[in-house]
Amino acid sequence: MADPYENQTPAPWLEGFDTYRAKELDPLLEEMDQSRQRALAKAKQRMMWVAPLVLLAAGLLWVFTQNPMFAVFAGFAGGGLGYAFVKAPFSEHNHLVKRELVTRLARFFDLNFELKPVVTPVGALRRLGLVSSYDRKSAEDRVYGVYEGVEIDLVELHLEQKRRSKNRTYYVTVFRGPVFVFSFPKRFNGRTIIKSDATSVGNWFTGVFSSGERVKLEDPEFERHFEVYGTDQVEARYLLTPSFMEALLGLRQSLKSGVQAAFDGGQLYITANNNQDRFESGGWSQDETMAQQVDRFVQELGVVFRIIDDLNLQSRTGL
Amino acid sequence: MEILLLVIAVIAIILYFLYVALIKRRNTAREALSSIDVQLRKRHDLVPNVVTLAQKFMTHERELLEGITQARNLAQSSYSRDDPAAVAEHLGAEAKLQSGLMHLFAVAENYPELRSAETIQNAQQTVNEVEGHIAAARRFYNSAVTDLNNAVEIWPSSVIAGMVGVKQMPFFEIEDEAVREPVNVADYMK
Repeated sequence: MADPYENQTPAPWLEGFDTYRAKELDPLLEEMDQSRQRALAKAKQRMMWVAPLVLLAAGLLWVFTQNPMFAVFAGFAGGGLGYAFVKAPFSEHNHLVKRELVTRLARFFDLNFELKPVVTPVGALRRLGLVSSYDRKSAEDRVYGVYEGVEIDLVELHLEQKRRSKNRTYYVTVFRGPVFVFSFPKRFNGRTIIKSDATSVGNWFTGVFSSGERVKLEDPEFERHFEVYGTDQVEARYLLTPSFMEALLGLRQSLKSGVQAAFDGGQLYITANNNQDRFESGGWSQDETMAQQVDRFVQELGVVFRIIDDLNLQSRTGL
Repeated sequence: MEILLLVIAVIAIILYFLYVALIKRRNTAREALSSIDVQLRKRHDLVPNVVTLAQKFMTHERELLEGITQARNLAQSSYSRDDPAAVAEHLGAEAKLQSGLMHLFAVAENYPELRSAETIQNAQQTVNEVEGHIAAARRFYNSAVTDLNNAVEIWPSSVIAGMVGVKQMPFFEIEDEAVREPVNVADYMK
């Protein structure tokens, strides 16, 4: 993940991280790599006899029932069950990764980790128009705590809409990705919403249904990718400092997704619909090693901390 | 004949929409100017406290403190928002006040007792925030003025502007190079 602040001096919150990583994380990463290799070997072993067994069972059904459709259907059903059985070792391994690795990682930054959070910010996200309507939701990998007096809450959200075709009901993902929530001690007077640019027609519709007025900003790069609406023009510009705009552009680039954000009440919400799942150690293949995922998460946290530092909204001056 | 009437009607409608857009832009610029004044009032309210506090320690800076008080009085005087020249004068007075305040904080570096006073530390925090709000209001105002001035200068709305007396408005610019940088009073009070 590209760090929008990479040219700045090392951040104070990273002090001692290399030592901590070498002592606490690297041995665990090594252990996890071995665990993944064991899971892979076990899955391959299972595959060796599950696949022929399913094929054999389907073939026998064909012979005895003389009904090829039934045999194919049974073959698919058996294949699905067999695949779940074969993949089971990866599931156990993934739980170990999340429970152990993320807990240790979060601990360094004085944050907590919750695998399956009960409470999610989805109500606020819906109200602010940052996510679409949904019929089913799930959340995981919540990292939360306090940094410089600001409560932070990062969670991965998965929202699905129910669809119906002729014979069946199925679900379509409408949002999947990280959600960042910052709770500042100071409340904002108005509401500022930063939406992804949706071309001229889309922006026109967004503007019509938006509760605020369009806020035109000076940064042409930011204007190209985002549309800002606010109920308080001055406050919107007070919050959208050049460094904050740069951070959002950096997040957008690194998460490869439609990043959106909103300031409302005392909260800042940032969403990234990038269809990615953090801290998945992969199944048969691995797109990104766990060490790379750790780096990515640390950089994400870096952006979070620096947004808090830049906004500097912790103080209460009574203004 | 009907075609001629139709053409006249279409032109009249276009002219009306141009007029509406122009007046909306002028009103947005005026609203933005009001927003600046709201934020500047916060600065004006802070100045007497900062000056009173500074007087206790900065006995040799009488001229500077008097200058700031005068700049504040000038900036606070009423002006016509419809008169671009008066607006420019008002914004210029504010720029001078800001420049004076920055100078004060720079000079305060030489007074350790002042730097360590708890009250001035609280004032620092407040001044920082006020300056942030003023900068935001200035961005809003300059954005609104850009839209208005474009409409006043570019044909065909320039014709309407001339007819109804809508004029260009001045930008809120920072003349003093010293105050072009974002204000962080803490830098001066270390």
